[in-house]
Amino acid sequence: MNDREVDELIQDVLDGDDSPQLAERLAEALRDPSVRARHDVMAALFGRLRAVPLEDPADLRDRVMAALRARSAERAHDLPRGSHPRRALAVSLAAAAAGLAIVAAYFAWHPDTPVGDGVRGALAPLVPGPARMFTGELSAGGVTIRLRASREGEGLRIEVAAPPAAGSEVAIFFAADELTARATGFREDGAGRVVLPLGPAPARGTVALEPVGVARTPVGVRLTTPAGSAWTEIAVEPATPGP
Amino acid sequence: MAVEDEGTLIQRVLDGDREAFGSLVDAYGRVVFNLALRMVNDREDARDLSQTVFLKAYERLATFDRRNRFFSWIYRITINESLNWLERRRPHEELKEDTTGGSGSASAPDAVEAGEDRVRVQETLQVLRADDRQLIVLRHFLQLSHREMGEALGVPEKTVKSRLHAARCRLAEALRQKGYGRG
Repeated sequence: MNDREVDELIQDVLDGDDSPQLAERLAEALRDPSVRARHDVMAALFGRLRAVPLEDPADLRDRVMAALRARSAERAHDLPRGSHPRRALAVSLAAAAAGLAIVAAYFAWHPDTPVGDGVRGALAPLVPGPARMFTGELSAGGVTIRLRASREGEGLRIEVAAPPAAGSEVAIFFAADELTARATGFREDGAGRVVLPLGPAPARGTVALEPVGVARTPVGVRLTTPAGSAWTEIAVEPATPGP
Repeated sequence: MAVEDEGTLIQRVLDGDREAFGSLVDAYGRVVFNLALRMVNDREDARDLSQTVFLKAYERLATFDRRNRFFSWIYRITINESLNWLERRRPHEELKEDTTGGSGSASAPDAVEAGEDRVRVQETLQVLRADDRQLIVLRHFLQLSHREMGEALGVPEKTVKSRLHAARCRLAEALRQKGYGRG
């Protein structure tokens, strides 16, 4: 046997092929000290790999289902106008914040998301800390907007700056039963959606989102232009119990 | 998960029962997360990648060929997403964290040693090419058979075996070069 054949024999046996033929061939080969040494190296490697444990993905199901709900809500808004009841936009902050906290906020950022595919792109979790803030860009159809999201009290503040882009708009989607919004520059466009229309001049808008309960559903941001759209999500997670 | 159960769940999702998808996440979330974790070596990124994988699976479920097995389909999505992530990552990014499941009891020398060795193995895995790494992860961490690996990777079982042999040899050599060799 050449070296390669020896290695394959060693690995086949270590990998669980326990046929008598292979065992006999290996026993024969192991009389050679150099083969024995290679066997020991490979056996140690198998053992070391076995010792690496699997880990549990905490709250993965909750995250996935929350994202699916958010996406479903976003698509519901694409139905013709008048299909959904409108709700008042501004809600008091005092009652909303009482006893509730969003401890961890992560921002999922998809700058290159193509039309119809909202999950492509890098995900950038926000670093926990007092200065939680995320800035980035969202581009579609040759239009690039700037986004800045930050913690504000117990809620989130999202600022949008857009260049002149007639016929385009920026929409922010949120679960109306989990978050309330105060918006500047944006207009209300049904429950859980505010829109910043873009025109011939640069546009700016701000949305402050406050929890009215345990907020789980990610906030979505969609840029729509005549030539295409892009979508990103801002995941909002409930408080993590302390030790 | 039994094939019947899986098929039923998939059909329920396709019929509009979104919550049924949660059962698929329960069934495959752990392996998807661990595959992503060992590929990208960062827990937060692996969590995000896992979420992305399942969202893509949900969006594309109607295109899933049910003559194949769901696990091989979702593993393939995971591998592709992980490889995309690795391509986007800066080429010389340092090892971010210990993703080896901790070191156990810090007061027990054996446990500390075992934990340190897991760190060494995980660190050295990152030195390998991504296609070598995925073979090691699928076989040794997720315990896939060669046939299942072939399904997930879309290559013949024989090819899987030969590539896996080579990948192990390269891992053993990489460990040796780093001074982590044993045996």
